Amino acid sequence: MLSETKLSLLQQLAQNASKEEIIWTKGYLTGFLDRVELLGGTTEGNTLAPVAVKPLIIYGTETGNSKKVASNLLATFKKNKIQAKAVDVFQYDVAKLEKESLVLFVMSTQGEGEFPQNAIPFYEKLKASNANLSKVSFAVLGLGDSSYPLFSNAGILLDEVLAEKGAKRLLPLVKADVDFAETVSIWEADLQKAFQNLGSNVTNEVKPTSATVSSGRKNYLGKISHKVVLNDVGSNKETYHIEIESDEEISYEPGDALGVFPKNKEAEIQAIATYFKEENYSILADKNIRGLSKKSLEIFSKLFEIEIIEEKANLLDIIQKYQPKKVKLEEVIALLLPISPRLYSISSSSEAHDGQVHLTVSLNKFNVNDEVKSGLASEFLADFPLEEPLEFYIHKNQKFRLPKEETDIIMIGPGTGIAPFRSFLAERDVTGAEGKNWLFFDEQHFVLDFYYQTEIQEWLTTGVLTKLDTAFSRDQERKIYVQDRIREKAKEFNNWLENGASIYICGQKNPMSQDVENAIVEVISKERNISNEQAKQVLSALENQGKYQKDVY
Amino acid sequence: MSEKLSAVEHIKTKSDGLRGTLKESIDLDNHTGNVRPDDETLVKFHGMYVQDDRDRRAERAAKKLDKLYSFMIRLRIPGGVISAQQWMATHEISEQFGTGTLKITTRQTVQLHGLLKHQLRPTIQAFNTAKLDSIAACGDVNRNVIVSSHPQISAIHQQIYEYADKISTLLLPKTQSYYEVFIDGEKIYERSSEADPLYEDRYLPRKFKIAIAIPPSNDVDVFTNDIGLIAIIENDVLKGFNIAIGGGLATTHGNPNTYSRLGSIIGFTDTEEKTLNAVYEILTVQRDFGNRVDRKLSRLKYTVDKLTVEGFKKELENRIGFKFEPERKYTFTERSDRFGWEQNHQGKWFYTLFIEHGVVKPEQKQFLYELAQQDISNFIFSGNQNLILGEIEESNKSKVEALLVQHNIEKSVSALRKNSMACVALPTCPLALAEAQRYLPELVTKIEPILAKYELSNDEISIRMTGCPNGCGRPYVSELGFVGTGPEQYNFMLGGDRLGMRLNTIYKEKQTESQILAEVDVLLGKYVNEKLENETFGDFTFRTILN
Repeated sequence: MLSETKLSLLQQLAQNASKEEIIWTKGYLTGFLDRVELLGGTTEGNTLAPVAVKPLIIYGTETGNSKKVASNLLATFKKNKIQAKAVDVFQYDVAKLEKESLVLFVMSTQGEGEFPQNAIPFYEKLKASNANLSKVSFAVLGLGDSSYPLFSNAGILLDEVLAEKGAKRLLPLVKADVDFAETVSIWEADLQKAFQNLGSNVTNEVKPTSATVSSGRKNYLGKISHKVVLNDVGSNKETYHIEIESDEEISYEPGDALGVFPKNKEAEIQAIATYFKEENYSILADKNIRGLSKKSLEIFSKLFEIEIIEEKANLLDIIQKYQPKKVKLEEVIALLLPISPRLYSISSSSEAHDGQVHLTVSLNKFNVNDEVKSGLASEFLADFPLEEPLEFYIHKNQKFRLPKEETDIIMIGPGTGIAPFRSFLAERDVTGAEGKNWLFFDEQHFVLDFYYQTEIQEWLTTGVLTKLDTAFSRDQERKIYVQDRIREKAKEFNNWLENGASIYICGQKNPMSQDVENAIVEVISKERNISNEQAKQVLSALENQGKYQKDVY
Repeated sequence: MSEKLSAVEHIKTKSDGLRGTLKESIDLDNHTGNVRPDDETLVKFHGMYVQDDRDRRAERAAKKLDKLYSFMIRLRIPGGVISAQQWMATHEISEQFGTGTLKITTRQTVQLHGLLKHQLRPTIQAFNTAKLDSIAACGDVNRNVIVSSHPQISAIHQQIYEYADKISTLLLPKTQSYYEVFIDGEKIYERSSEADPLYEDRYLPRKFKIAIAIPPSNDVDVFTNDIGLIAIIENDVLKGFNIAIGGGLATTHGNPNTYSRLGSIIGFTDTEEKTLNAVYEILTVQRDFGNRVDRKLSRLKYTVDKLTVEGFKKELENRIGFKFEPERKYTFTERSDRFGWEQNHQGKWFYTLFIEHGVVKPEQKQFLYELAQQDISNFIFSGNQNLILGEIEESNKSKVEALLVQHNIEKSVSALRKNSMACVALPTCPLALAEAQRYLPELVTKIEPILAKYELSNDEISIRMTGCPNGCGRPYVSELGFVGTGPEQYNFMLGGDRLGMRLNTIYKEKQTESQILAEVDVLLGKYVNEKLENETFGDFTFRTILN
């Protein structure tokens, strides 16, 4: 049936794919077929017959992904003459829910399976209410990250509570992973198919076609072969350059991240075990005992029969403060979740760095009640001994990829946000890519915190790096950052964009990536003499074309 | 010229009035703490050296960090006198920028270390506000003019001191690039106003140093300068100056064509006009006849010897249009500073504070800042790297004394230590082969017990150390001289006199600390037993060991 070329392509794909990838592909093809049918039997999309449903899209977002999915959904509906509305869950009154007929939720999950900050009140109120939602049809799309144990947990909880209150599932819950685009488009197709059924009063549930995507994860065993603090003596920062190697070939591309499985510190778990008079406690090493959520603490309040006033706390701190009754350690362990793996942007290029994986990890230090504490994962890596077995995996990041070789790129990577750009530059150096490269970097002090300075100098000398802009916030009275440099270089920045350059941002989501984005919008607006709104659209168009990519956390 | 000019000559002539690409180096080159290679040469003419912390090189390389480049900035303070307000400004600038260390140099000025490139402009602007600059403090031009620093010694000190400023101003480069690059930013100066008949576009072949000695003190080591002026005073009236030319200490290890040389007196001038004219034309002869091919042989001393003293003098007399008078009689009896309180002929008080190797210690710095706040003295840098608090009214003397006590400043210091001198050397000086400023205090501590053993603790033996043979600490005119040849080893120099009239010579090469201490023990033992009456250690070793 297939032409020889197509068949060979398919066979090639099937042979090279993991089992999980084949399962996913199967789901994808089914969904694709449904959509083709929905659009009138061909892939050349005709418009749908108007449907008499008025869906309300409610989104709960932390990073803006859910909002983006909701906006795209709204746009698709509009194109298909479906009158839909979208609203942030934060602005939606729970009491109104009973009167809706069709509600579509796009809900992301934060941290340990929690709702976005803005969505918590909605969920709590709904759960506590006596609402009767029997006239409501709904579907939930949960966004999340499958590398966390409680993948898309907020979506699951929301889906459950809606059903509990009598609402009818139009579609079963769909969980979308970090690369959510395909899952979302399948969900859209399924929805529209379901709307048709609603229109013809057929109430039976549509059989889902989309499978939960699990990105076939392969764990590697390797070791840290070299480790050095990049900051010079006297810095406020402690950022590690870490080189990891394995006997196996580690398959990754620039833009990918490395996932590690941090373990608790021996002293900390020993202290907990000792308190509960238990000698066998090794299992605690993999349990999350840091930064327990309010929800977890409530559960512990019950177990310990005490009232914990903290909103977020470490288990050991709770024990030391409240001296709770000595339950069995296994009871405590039963209530603990496993530690989530943590991702770090890779700062090497396999090609340029002999197959090694390099990380640029800032030891996360913060003050709690005048005590300096460190982040679990960064400390785990910083303290991890050389040449000892280390388990890790590669987290593919298709949404953060170098463009074609001839395309110019603008890289904005303050602090450890420089990591993927070291990878990009090393890759472009070794492959001889012709595109121009412009790097923006900031940190506190020029002499102490200029990560990879000598390598950057080398890239400038050899012309791999076309332009460099740096800002060192504490080297002068006025604090300056990458966004200030972007504004200073407005004309040239805009020229690069007009010549087709792609923009990349890596680093802190807030406030950095937001400040940078505002600066870029300002630059576009000023240089093209257009309104702020129009400039935002320009940027958003770039984003849709994959020419504006972010890896922020 | 048949031979190839040295690279620095091309940098100077191409520099567009010492501008080079300094603006680009500062404004554009954000990847490095250094300036561009040619600008490294030019920045010296504006009073700065680029250095890097050599102690940090290896570790920073492992951290993928570039060398820790920083700049030393040296002020131009003719005669070494600043006001209390200027000291306060200098103090505050040093607290804000650089390492915080103030280093008094052997050329009666002060330098700051560890300034980062982006701090240069704010630093220079702040100095400018305090009416201080660093123009021509380094580079192939006339450097800071020094003059005997103890005003209390001579009633006409002020009159002679003013020559320092007159000479400095006369010999300043005409280019306004210092202001354009570091202060005014965008303002572009009219090039025609910068025509420079003295330096033209090539400046001098090498650095140029001028000192004025007021007998009986030779605290400026007058014969180690390219030009030495010796004030001739009769009955508190300035009669004129003996002029010495061709002094200079720097040598190069392993280059037998290089040598230290004391200045040769070529005559006497009796009026200010003639003196300034002679000084100016000595520079033009050096400009025209100096060696521009080999920088190791380009100081005035080599030009003088090439032309012969007589030949040089003849050329000079052609240019100045008059003949020198024969040199007049003068007598030096001291070279050290006079520590503690002294009073001048008008009844004003002067307090000389010992600053070991010119490095102002933190408690001294605090004391000086508080003193400056009271505005009851001026601040005079001596050629021996000490600090004189001058022009203190009788009524204010007790305030100074109270502050000295309050900050516990005066501690007993041995005579040897007070007569010790060292250059900066490691870790910042790019030329250093061995330690100096960081090590000499320790060596002195180890020699002190030997002196005590021979009851020589009050003997004012001069001891000087430099990290390389360039001689910034003037080790060639000391009684115990140490010139760094490599890590922890020094050429041991003996036979210099106490007043800077005779060069010392190498006694033992490449000595380690234990060898030095053993030698010192033997030499001092011999000295105590065999010296003539009133014979200094330097004269003794010259007489007995080296002849």
